[in-house]
Amino acid sequence: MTRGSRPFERVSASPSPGAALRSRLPHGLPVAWRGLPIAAAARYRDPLVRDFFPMRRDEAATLAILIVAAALAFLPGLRELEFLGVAAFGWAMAGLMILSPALALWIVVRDRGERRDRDRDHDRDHDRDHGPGDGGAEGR
Amino acid sequence: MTTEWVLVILYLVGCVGIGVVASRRAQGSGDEYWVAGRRIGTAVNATAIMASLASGGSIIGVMGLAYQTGVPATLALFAGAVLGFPLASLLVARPLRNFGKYTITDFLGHRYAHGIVRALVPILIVVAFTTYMVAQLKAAGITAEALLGVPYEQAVVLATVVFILYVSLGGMLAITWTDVVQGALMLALVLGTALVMVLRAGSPLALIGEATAAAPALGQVAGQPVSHYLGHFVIWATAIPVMPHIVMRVYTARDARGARMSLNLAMLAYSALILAAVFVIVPVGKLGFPELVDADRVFLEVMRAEFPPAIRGVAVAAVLAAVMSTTDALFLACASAIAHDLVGGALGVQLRPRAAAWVRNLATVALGGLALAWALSPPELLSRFYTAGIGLLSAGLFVPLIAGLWWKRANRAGGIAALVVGSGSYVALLLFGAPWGLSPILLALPASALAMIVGAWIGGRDPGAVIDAVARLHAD
Repeated sequence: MTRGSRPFERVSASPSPGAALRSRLPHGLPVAWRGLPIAAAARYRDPLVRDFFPMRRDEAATLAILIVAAALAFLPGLRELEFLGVAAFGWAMAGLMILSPALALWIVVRDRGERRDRDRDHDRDHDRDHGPGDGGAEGR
Repeated sequence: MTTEWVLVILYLVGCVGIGVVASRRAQGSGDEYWVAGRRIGTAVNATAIMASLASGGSIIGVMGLAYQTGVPATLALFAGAVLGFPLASLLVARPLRNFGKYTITDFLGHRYAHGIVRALVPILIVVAFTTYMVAQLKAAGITAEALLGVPYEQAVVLATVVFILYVSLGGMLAITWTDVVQGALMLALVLGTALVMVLRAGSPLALIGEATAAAPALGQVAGQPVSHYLGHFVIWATAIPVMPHIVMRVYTARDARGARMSLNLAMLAYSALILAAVFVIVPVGKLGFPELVDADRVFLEVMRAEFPPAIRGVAVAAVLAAVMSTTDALFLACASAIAHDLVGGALGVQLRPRAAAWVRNLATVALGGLALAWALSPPELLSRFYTAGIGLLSAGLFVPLIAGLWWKRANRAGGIAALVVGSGSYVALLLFGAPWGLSPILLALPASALAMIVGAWIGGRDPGAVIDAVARLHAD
């Protein structure tokens, strides 16, 4: 049996890097309080999130990246810095003009690829179960 | 001048010819007329969207602005529109295409079913887009006067007659076909010119470096406050997802994925157009013609100095194409706001197909007449009027549309409140001035969002059937 193939198999006795890092953090607060902000945020976040129609994770991430990139482009310091004679603000705007449609296009293209793979798998499963030529693409 | 004239006349006759050919299909039904039967492929739709957005300002204006105020300030104005398209692709394209109607009013009137919404939305569209159309007609007149020597009034009348003919005859199909030709012409001209310049200079970075060394102001941020740039950026970023002529393009796509692909491809092409103009052609103009009194002439001076008459003729046609491709889409969007949204929606008049065709043709002619009358004696600060018009659309429609598509608690009270408070506060801030020197849109949008939240809280949740119907719009 290969390592880690059994359910709940303990593959390492050493703590995870995250746990090791947490153990070295300063413990200024009682243990019970340290998780409080996260628990409170989760408690209020869930009903808020439930009030919105779900968005795919990659699309939500793209949206967040674009908004953050646009906000960063307007940072006051970028107006003074110059590169090749053009203010960094100008380069940031140019970058945003390429980044935003390219990122959104990549999401659509990737989605199309995933869908094609899913349809192919579905057809293969259908052919295996019912034999080829048995209306494998129906319902698509 | 003869070559230029021949090319322009051929081009105008071609546009009307396309309208006549398209009319055979377009006059058949509302689906065919308003959204070209929803059969437009991705590449064609992308080129048409790019052409619709790239107005005369995107060729002549962008270069003049960069020449006068520098590269960073110019890009700040155009980057907002470019960001708006991914926002439209991510937030609006899939659910609206799945909704499958013709206009943005169709969705808002369905989501917030009330007479105020069905009447106010098309009125906002007509008010905002009429100023936009007048600005485009003025650009057509000025361009023809400057390049062909035609008197301004004659050029404006000729352009309006051509628009009315091919828009009323061929609807969205004629507009799509002409926009594809116009978009391809614009891209070929600007990217081709930039490529020639880069090959001569060796690299675009060398070109911009040399130009900013000679004229440092070209690379510096002009002395406007940040809120000025931020205001323009936000107006265009939030207006694109609600612009009726862009939303109608979403409906023309074969499916939601095609609509999203078209929007993003269009924006890559648009970005390439703007960046090539600003980073390549303007530096060449600044080096060759450092003391131009009229900055808007920089592109034409570069073309005159670098290319033979036949290419200059194509340049004239491309500038007119840029103006026309935006104006025809605006004409159709305004005609749909009157004939489809107001007459068919708000007034609830049920018309037979033949009568509906008459109404939309009359609406196109009436709008053309109104825009023409205004364009013959345009106000001095027209560009301010139309930017304000786009801001009004954004302030009034962005929050109701996005909340209506994505927020389950959005309801009729919230939608009406957001629409009225957003557009009302924007107009009030424009008239009486915004505090702290802020751009009006930076206050009107939050006011609209707040009104939506308060309205949703007061009005209670919509019935489950409404929420389920909106949920189905998000399906792949």
